[in-house]
Order: sequence, then C-alpha cells, then structure tokens
Amino acid sequence: MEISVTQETGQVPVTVFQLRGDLTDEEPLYSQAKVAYDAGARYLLLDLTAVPYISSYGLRTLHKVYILLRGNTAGDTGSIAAGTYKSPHLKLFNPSPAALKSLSVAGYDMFLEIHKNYSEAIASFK
Amino acid sequence: MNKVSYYFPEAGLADMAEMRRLIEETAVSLHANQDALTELLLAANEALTNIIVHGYQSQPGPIEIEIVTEGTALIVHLYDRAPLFDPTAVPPPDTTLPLEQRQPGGLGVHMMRQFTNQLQYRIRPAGGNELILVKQCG
Repeated sequence: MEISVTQETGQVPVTVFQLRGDLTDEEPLYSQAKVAYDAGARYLLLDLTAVPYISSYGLRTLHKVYILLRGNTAGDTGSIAAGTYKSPHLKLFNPSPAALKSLSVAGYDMFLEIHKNYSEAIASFK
Repeated sequence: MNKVSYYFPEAGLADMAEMRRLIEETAVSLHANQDALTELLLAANEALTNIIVHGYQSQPGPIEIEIVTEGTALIVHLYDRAPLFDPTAVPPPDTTLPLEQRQPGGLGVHMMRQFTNQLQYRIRPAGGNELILVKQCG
C-alpha cells in the first residue's frame, strides 16, 4: 500500500491520506497516522478511491487509527450509548463497493462518516 | 460440475491479487452476478490472508485453491499445511457495539461467514486444513 499525504483547510486543518492498494495490513497506515498525530494532526480523511479491498486487518487498523485520533477525549457518551455517535476526527472518502461491504459487515459504517463528495467531506470536519 | 485447481507452492501476500483473479475468472465464466462475486472475493481474500499471515506467520507456504461449480453455486476449497485451525469454531463478534467498546480485530471469520452461504472446515486425512467457501452466484 502507498500513501500520499496532503493538507486541506476547511473549518479546521484536515490531513488527507490518499491510499493506493489493498488495505490488508496495519502498516504503513498506522505509522503514518501516528506520525501525523504526533505532528499535531487531529482530523484525518482517508481517501479510499484506489483501495480495492479492505480485509479484517485493514478494519482493525482503521479501528486503531480511530482510537489514536480520539486521544484522551471520550466521545459523546450519550450518542455512543444511543448508537448515533460518529467520529469527528476520522472520516472516509469514496470507498469502492467491495470496501464498503467490508466496512458495513463490520458495523464500521455506523461509527465513521463516509462521504462521496470531497468538498463536503473536508467541510464536514469542525 | 466443473473443477479447476491452482497450486501455489510458496504462497505469500504478493500472490493475493493473482489468487483473486483466478477465482474471479471462474466466477465470471459461471455468469455470477457482480454482488455475489464481490462477496465471494472478499471472503476468499479474508481466508487466504488468514492462512498466509496467521497460519504461515507471513512465511512462504503451500496453498491449493480448488474451484468447483455446481449449478449456480461456486465452491472454493482452500488447502494449506499450516498448523490446524478451525475458523468455524470462532465465536461471532458483536458488530453492533460502538467502536469505543470494542477491541480492534476479530472480524476475519465474521467476514467469511457473512460473505458466503456456507463455511465449512475439515482436517485433511493426510493432515492440513481444508476450508470450504460456498457461494450461490446465480
């Protein structure tokens, strides 16, 4: 997997990872997310346009990145309990039909925003 | 009934795309619908990744893929020589829990189950694992 990193400025600074290749392993995604987080990034958009498949290892990595970006801030416990909470820190852009199936079967689509429009995705970070 | 088989004597993650391609080609020849094909490939991808990463600890190891068509069903047999492991015995995760309350991981077998119509496991008479993924593609 290859990752290109760009920065966007919406209402907050947004780091965009453009992933290329199957997401089937923890690396290099987690290390790159950690580097970005340590450098101050708190809002990450993963562009999945060029990711044909997400395996369970890829899902686990998304979960770890979700936890990393959450930091010490607990989510809104009310909306977590109600099942309506979505991460304000980690969002996904344009997953393939196969990647979407993986996200859906794991229930991740309930907790991560998935966007089809890039500008709207950037603007959604607050 | 048609049957084709492919043997990868030193399978690794680098072979995944080729393995998927072979399964896809066979499914297409069966006129499998796209949705069923996508799900079968996801299940097979998961099973093969598990064999390579968990079973063989990411070291090269033999994998045989046998694809059988029976009516509108596509049956993928995966044979390997990794330590015995029965994925069908793994309990299902609770995917309705918020991510906050889950431990990362434990989704591989869940994906295999969800994306196939049937998932079976056998220990081969001469030793080794046989995992059978059945998908209705009609």
